[in-house]
Amino acid sequence: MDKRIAWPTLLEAQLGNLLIGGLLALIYGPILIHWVDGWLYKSISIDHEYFSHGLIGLPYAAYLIFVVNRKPWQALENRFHPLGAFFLTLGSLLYLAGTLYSVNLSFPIVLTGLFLALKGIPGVQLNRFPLLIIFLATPNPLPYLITPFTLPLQIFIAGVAGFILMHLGMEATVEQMYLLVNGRAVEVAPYCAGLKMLFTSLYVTLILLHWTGNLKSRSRTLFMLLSAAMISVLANIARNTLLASFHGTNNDKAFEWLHEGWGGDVYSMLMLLTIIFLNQNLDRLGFMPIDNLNGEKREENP
Amino acid sequence: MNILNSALFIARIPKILQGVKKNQWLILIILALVFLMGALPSYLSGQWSWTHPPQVRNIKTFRELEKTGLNVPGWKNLDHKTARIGGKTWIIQSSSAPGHDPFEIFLLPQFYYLDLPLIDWLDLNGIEREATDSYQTLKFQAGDSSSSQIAARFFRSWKKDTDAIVQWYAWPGGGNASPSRWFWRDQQAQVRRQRIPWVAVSLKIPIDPLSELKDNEKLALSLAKSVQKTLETQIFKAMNYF
Repeated sequence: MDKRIAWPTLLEAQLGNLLIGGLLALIYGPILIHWVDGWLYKSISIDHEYFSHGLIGLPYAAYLIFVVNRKPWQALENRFHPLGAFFLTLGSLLYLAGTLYSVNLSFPIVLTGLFLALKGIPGVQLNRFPLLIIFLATPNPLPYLITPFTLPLQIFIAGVAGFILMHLGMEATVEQMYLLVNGRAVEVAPYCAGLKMLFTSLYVTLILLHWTGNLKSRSRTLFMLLSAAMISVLANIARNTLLASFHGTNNDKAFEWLHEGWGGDVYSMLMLLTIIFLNQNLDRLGFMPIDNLNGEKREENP
Repeated sequence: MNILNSALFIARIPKILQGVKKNQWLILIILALVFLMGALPSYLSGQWSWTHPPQVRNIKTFRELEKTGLNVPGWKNLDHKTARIGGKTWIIQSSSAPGHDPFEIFLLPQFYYLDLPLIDWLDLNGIEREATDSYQTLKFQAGDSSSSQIAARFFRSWKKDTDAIVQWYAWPGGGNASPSRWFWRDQQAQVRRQRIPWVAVSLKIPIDPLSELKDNEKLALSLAKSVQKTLETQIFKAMNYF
């Protein structure tokens, strides 16, 4: 008898949430599958691939919302905030507009509206980190719009890579974003400027900081984000240096391996491992966040 | 027994629905509307509007342009060819207008509906690697309707000879040197399931080596206006955009 009652009771208690969840899945399931398909199989566009860090971020956000924050969420008082209706309406209109970017953007907006409408401001505050990483993984036209402005970065990378090659005894010349080794030119194109890896490394750093509980320390967060940015710029200079030297020495197989093959994945992995290694060893290396140090000292010497 | 259970369940429905709170009802109504208006038609047709942007109407007209070049009334086309620049096929023609030295017109039309304006000005500069200076914005209106506002890049370029260069992305009823201007217009058009076709235009006008850019503004303006007007009245009109 108990077993028979269990299902209807659950239904009674959770009917509203179940219906909302079901509708959300029906509305956003196809576009989310589209995103993941585009990231895994590179089937949409190079601009879309700028957001492939969502492959890590979206599951992590789901884990935070449904596992870590579930109990605190249930403990929150049920309260409606008018801004919720605003966000829900805005998100709905963007969805109905039907273009790729408007539908994409409507997802984090509708989620924010949902949290506001269910639990008010505290609901958004509780889930602000998952919302942030969902928003940062939502494919938008920024990579396309910034391409005309990456020229200084391209010239900088070509310049430094050329400098390194010259000191390695190669015959290298640099003309703006063109890097010539033994007369063969490699162009540091806008999409080679390393912005994708910069975005990815900053994103992974954010998740790493949250995972290790270091996000609360402002100095640690700032230090890690700056380090991640530097690591990715340096790694990209190394990558372009290698590419130009492979190209200049007619080592086309090695060039293709690093440029299109799994060499690119190795490069990304090495870079992300460096960031993880740095985060793991910061405490041991004596770079303790200042605010934590002060706190500990005060405890030791009352 | 089953019938009894079902009857019991149905009898409980009103009570179950009472468990849904007011704010949940509001959310459900909004989401249900979005589902019915936005998602359900796509589920039924199997066509999702966001998988591809809409096609560009009569995009084949750009292939005609590639074959014939741009025929500006009153101008003479001296030469006309295509060349690969930055991985794209440009139409390069040299023309002459009455009373002026011959000049060159570089055209890059949107041959494929997924083609986007990118760093085409940089690609053009990349082939000749000329020195450039005196960057300005050249604003003009084309056609009889004053609605066609164009803001082009205008600068001096030299290696052996000196040229005045005018560059912009032309579209029906307007133009701008910045890809983002085209992009936002195209996004708005996509909401109406339409597109904004574009043609990258670069005019290379030989000028006196010592002359200032400003002294050549009038000539550049009149040539640029004629090109935009011809694109609108011949090409975009043939594509049914007017």
